[in-house]
Amino acid sequence: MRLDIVIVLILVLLTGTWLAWQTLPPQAPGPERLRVQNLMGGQSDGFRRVTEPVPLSFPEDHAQHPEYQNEWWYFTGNLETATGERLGYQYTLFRFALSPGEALNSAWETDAIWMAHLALSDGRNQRFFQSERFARGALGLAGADEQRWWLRDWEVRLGEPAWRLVAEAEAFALDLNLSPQRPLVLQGDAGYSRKGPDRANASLYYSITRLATTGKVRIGDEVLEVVDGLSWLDREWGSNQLAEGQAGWDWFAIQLEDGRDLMLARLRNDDGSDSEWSYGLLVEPDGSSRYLTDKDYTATTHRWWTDAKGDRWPLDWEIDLPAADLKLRTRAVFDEQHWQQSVDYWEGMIDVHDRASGESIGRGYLELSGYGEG
Amino acid sequence: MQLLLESSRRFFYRHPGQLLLALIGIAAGVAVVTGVALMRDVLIDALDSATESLSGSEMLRITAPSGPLDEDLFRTLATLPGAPALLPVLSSRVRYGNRMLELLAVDPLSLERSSPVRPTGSATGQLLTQANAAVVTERTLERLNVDPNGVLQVRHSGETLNLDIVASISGGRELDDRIIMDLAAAQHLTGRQGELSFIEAAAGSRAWLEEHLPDGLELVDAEQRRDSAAALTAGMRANLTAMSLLSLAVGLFVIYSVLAFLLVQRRRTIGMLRAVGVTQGHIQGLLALETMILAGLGALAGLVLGTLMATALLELVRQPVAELYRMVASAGIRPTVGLYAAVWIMAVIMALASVLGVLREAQRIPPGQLARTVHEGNSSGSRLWRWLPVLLLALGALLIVGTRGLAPVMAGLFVMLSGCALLAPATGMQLLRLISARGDGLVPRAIKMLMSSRQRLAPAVSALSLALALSAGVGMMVLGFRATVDDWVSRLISADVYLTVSQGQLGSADVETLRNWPELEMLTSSRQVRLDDGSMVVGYDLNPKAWAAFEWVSGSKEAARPAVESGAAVLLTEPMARRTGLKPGDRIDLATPSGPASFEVAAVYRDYSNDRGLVGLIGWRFRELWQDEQRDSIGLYLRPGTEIEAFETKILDAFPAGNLTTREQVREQTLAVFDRTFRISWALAILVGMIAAIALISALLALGLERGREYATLRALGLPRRGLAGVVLTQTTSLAAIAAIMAVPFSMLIHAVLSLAVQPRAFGWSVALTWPWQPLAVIVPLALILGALAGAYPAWKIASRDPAPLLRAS
Repeated sequence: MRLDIVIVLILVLLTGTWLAWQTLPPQAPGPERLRVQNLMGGQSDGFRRVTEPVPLSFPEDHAQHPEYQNEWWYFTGNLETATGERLGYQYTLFRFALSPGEALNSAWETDAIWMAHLALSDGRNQRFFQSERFARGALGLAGADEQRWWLRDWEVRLGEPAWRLVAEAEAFALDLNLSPQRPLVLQGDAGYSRKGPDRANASLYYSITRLATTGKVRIGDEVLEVVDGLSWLDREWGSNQLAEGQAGWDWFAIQLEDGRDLMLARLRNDDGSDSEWSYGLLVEPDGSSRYLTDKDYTATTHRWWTDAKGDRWPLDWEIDLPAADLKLRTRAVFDEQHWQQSVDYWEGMIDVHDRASGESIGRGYLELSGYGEG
Repeated sequence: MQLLLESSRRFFYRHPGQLLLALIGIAAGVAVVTGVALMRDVLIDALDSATESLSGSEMLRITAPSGPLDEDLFRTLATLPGAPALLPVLSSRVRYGNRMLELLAVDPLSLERSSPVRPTGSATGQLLTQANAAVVTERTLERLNVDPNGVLQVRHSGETLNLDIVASISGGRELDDRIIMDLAAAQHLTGRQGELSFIEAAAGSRAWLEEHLPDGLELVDAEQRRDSAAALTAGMRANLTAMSLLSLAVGLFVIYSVLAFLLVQRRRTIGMLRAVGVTQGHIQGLLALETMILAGLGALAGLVLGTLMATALLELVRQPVAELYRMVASAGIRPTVGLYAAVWIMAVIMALASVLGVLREAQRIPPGQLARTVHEGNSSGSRLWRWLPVLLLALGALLIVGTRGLAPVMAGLFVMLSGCALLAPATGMQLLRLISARGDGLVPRAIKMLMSSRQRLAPAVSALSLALALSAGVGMMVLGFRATVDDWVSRLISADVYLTVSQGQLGSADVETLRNWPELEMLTSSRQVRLDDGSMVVGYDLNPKAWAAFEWVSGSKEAARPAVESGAAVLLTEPMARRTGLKPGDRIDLATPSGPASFEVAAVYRDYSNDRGLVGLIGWRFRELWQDEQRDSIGLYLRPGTEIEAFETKILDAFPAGNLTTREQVREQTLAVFDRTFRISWALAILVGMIAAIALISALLALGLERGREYATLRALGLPRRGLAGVVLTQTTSLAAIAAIMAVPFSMLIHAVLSLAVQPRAFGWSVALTWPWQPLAVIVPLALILGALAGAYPAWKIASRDPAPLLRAS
């Protein structure tokens, strides 16, 4: 072909490409992820820090503590439907305080960002539903007082005798009645839960480890009757809890059939090793409890799961707690209980077996943080 | 066919200048069409694109029929069970130097996760807690020439706001010239506590919203908003489209004149090809293919140029659109494959259509013709052909006079211009004949030579005179319109000074206070609210002087005043009357916050402030219906002998946030808005003028080069080089001169049609016809200079060439 024709064709091609490129829609930047480290560590100037046990009183301490930097109201639970099928749920309300700014003459002025996470694990066909919401702490859009913990229309009302959780997302909804089965327990040293070398790497922390749960769950258009279930509430607040060099945690909330409840929080260092500041709590059927340190138990990963992005998550574990004569194996009911919204973490229902007999001896929830942020 | 293509390829190699001119001509025409088409789309999408890029497309919008929403509505809706995702938005316009920017305040925590402004990162924290934290796109920073993390100083309601840019985001162009802030900070800074402009909701939530929305609020979907933006800017867009099509027409003339000239150059080749058995069909196929390739390549280049130009053109219209229609248009164009393909195909087809004449002529070349000379023969053609221009002019006039819509008037203008295009060459040649008939010098002889190829020159003369006429006609219309507006505003403004203050701070109590001031003889005041369709309702409190300042278009002014003051009747502006078809005596229904109200139309008055129209209502009735005690401005009439400086001090003491505007300042501001509005028209007129210059140069170069042999004969007969150069220059200059002379009546015609028919139908207002001469004073000398310049090169080339080889050919 003649050189001039080739040149013209190349020019036409270049022009066409340039024009085609002009018609492409602008590339939107990908959504940003929150990092656990940023949420839980970092600057806490101007906020009260937890350095020692503080007497807690109720119901006052059910309400928010704006003088501390972050706080959460954390429900997880294993449920059973009338037809014996398994469901798991999580409802969490987070409060992240903003650094104090100047006073604004507006009803929209806020001192905190509120985030709510609502998830449902459908054990029947191993589906995981998740929904995330944010709101400002203004105009009554979100908040927590002694009677009610809410973000817009998602709320928990602390009534008598039962509490009620109502939260509706597009694909699923929860309407649950929660009845505390035993008194609340203070974690750590009378509620002072230390997590690092600095006395201020700590939070105030209490739990209600058993709440009998019934109600309704909607998945799509299908409404399921929940006839049996056990929920767990964690309440925690503080400022700058995580120490430098801590990457995240593996948290277990286990309700054993013999009536004992076990919480283990295995803190991890940046290099993946166990932190000496790992801790736990064993609650006896009579409500008495025992604080556990990292010396009291071992938790070893038994199986890893790799998500679509290539991140690895330790889903099955072997736990030894000699003082309570427990040798447990925990297993995720299914793998895909992976939160992939603003925060990347795994939170899902687990089965608990006795390692020696292989028998099922309980159920629980596992939370894995700090794995999906690399 | 291969042989034919090879021959045309070799031909263009020998005449690269011709090739280039043809490409430039078509590219320039297509560029203007593309540029305007891309810009038009932005004017339709302007309302939506910014919030769309924040909250997603196809959103439903909750608005109040007039005025802002109460923020309590958001609180109520957002906490109801099953509430969809809702995004509260407060939009304010702020000024940055001469630029109008939109301050878009949202709740960042209500934004979708994919939105460029996300509730994460430190910027969100700053947005939520700092009174002056703002976020803009990187491009906006560049456009405004502000440093990242710098301070953006803007004006809002007479106050200066210093905004801290806490982050730049890489959002799309829709966010250009938008300042994104948090609602709390924006309400704090602008003093708009409690207000929201609108709430966006997901498209799927219509049923839920219809069930839960309080009465009196409106739910508008994306389609309805686009329609209303389209209606709002319809007049402006129609004008732009017409101008762009005219530019293309001029560009097509260029391609026609080049191809016609190329045909002349190749008569010999074609004659030989015919002699060796190439059929007529083949020759025509070749010429058509040539045209397609030329037009295709030129159009492709035009698309690129147009895309680049659109952004610049958009800059010219964004400001007036913001001022007139209260929409900050996106700064980014959105080209689509469909639009590109449509413009390209249209350009190629129109190019083919424009060279049909050339194809017909090629058909007439007999086999074996070796001479290049064109036999002009009997050029008069049929009787119909001779009367065609007159018929076209008559048909065009009929279309313009006999119809009411904007489209027929545009069509009529096109038809009339076609008539002009046909009329131009014949009339021009008559003019030349008159000139050349006098005497026997070099100049008349040169002109006679020119006339021998009048058919060849006809398209060039048409193109030139039309392009010049368009440039001048649009210029005359703009200047004439400006004079009308100046006259109107000078007459309308009867108070000595006008008092305005930041939003919502002048009330009935202030009017009562001012009424008792001894310095003041009388007052007027007004309050405007915008209706959904872009028209306004104005509550007037007028004194006799202000009443006298109205210029009535229809209705009895004696009867109108008492009827309006009784609260039973209203005044309409001319655009309102024209758009609604209402006349004095008819009734108009208005949706008011107190329910529907019906009024008699008392009279229609002249107004150029809003092309959607205004309804004027007496103040007390307005306040009753709209429950709105505010005033936008108070006109102050000073008693004779009042010291204006001392009075100003007193006013500003009493109203610290007040602004005083004198009559002269109001006039200047109005004309400044006018000038900004018509910058786009000037730009297009200049573009058309530039295409005309290309056409002129191409035609004249062709003329000079084509007649090489005749010039050689003159040289051989003893005409000195200088004399020959003189002949060439005379010919090109006189050609430019007749085009310019013909352009004078044509431009007057265009001016008259634009002023008397297009303006009223596009915008609803009539414009008094005046005859500004300045554009003509520019184009006529300019054409002559260009004519002389375009003749210089061929003159030099021909004069310096040895005549022998050229003569040998015959």
